[in-house]
Amino acid sequence: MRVAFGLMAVGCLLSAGCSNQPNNATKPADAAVVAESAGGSNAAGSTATGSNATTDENSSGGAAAANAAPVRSGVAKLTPENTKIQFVGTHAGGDPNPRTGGFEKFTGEAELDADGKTLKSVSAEIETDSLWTQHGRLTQHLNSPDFFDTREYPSATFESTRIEPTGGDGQYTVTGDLTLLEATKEIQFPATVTIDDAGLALRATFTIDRTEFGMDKLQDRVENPVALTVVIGEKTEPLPSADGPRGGGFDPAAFFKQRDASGDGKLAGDEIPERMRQDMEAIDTDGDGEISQEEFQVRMRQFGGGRPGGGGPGAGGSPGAAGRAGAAGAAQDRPGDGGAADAAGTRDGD
Amino acid sequence: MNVAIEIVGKGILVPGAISVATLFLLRRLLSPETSQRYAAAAAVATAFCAGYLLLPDWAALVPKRHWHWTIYLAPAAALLGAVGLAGGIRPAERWLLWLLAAFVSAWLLVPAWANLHPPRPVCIGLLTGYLFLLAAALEPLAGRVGPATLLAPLTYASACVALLIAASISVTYAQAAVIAAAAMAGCWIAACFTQTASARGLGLVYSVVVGGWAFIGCIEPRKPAVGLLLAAAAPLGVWCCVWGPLSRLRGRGAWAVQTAVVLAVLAAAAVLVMAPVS
Repeated sequence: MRVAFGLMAVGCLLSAGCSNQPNNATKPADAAVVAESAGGSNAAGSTATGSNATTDENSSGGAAAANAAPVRSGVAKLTPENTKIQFVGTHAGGDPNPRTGGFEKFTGEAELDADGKTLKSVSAEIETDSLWTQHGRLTQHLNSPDFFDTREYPSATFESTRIEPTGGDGQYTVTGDLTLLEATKEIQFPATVTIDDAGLALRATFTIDRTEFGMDKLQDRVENPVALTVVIGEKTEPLPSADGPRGGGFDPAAFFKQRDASGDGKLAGDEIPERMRQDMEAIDTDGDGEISQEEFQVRMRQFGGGRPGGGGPGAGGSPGAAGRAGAAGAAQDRPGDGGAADAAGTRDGD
Repeated sequence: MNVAIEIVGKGILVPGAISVATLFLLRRLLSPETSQRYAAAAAVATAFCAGYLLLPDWAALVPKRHWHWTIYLAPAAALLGAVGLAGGIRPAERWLLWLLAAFVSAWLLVPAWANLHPPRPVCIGLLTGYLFLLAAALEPLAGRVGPATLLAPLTYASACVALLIAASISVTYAQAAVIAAAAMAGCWIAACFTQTASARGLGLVYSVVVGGWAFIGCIEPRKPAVGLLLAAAAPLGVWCCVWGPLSRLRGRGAWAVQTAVVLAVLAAAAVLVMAPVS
């Protein structure tokens, strides 16, 4: 009996909490891809752990300015209307199965120098229990004491202590104190900043080591580095739930039908997801300016996606570069486009 | 250390062994009347405390969080549970003593979270009632069914609470909750091999430790996992063969029915807890 009980307990605990069910995201093979997916940029993100931050000049990508934060009296108020804060965590072992999440509620300020052309300081306070992911149970687990422990620590803060320009094209290195759970640690990360008449835009992609903040549970199940993306200039919009009746997953046929408002069996004009439009040359093989079902399916197969009710794009595909790109896109969904736009393998920034 | 190894070794095997050893030891050391009341409760409390002490440093001894009190509440409940059964104590006094124990436990186990719903005073009232009723309803069963017959559902239920917490709430919490299950299992195993064993005095300690952990897990998600409270109360299903039409059943028939009832309640609790989270 005791053995049976033990096996039962272990079996359950092993499968507990952070289930490894397939996601809409594909399965990138390394952390770099995860960082990429978090940032939606073309490069591998930076590490911002304590004072040992490494920077990569390409890592921040271009600062988005679609929804720039208006600057008044030298201060830009950061709200979910003009800023998004996202993270990507991966499972440990051979199957990273990345999970994208973010925060829906936060406040912050970005202050500019007197000349109004240089970023002076950034601060933010996040309501941690506004955490979202694409999986309800994962969200619940991340809120628990195993991770963010949002009941005990309902807020996390960042306060910059030093911001230094590192290039003439809006590149900065931001240093500041991040308070998460019980710990306050200095982190440093690169950021790309655009300041113009529309306001302030910033994009930063970097990774932190969760264990440095006391988030040290389940290290044998979840990787310690967590990729973070902060974008000023994009609205916070949680990705759609991936919890489907059969465990979630992306159904390309259903997505195509949903987008095909005219019902003519082709996606044209606004029916084409924004990020697919950016890659039309590759997708629209017959050059008619529309995407047929066949072209759409080919695109899906390129990224190994589209198993209805099953894994997400890439889940059944090869772990090659294309699959990884699909992963990046899927993990970095822009809600306005719908999750499937990413599933189609297009990427923010591509 | 791998979490699974830590849980099996420190969370299950060690507390289980300590529970067995304590029960046998106390039955040897104490007089029959005293050991009848104290042995099982003390075995569970000792095993739980030992298992808790083996947990990593996040299981603090100086309470910083509501659930850190469980290591102190377990021995207190074991003591008060047994004292309440002493000869000469009137039933009203016993219920009052246990009600007080349930209230103090609830006071300590309900956290002061700003976003707790229902609010803390209401939670304290509800938890006091739950712990008291659970203890008061379980204790009389010890005099009506055999110790192994009662300890089996107590073990199932405590294991179910731990597993559901692990699967749905938090592995951190489950590491502590599984210790209570192991302690119960140890008692059950010992009772199977001891003809003079007794499950008297267990009601309050079971209620405070297992019911307490069910509550701790229940309030963690934004939508309370009330199924955990149902799981901890599942052993009350044994009453179906003690009172009412099914009380005529005897032997294996009775055992089968009460086991089926308890397992059905546990299954319902599992369905409630594991329901999809939106």
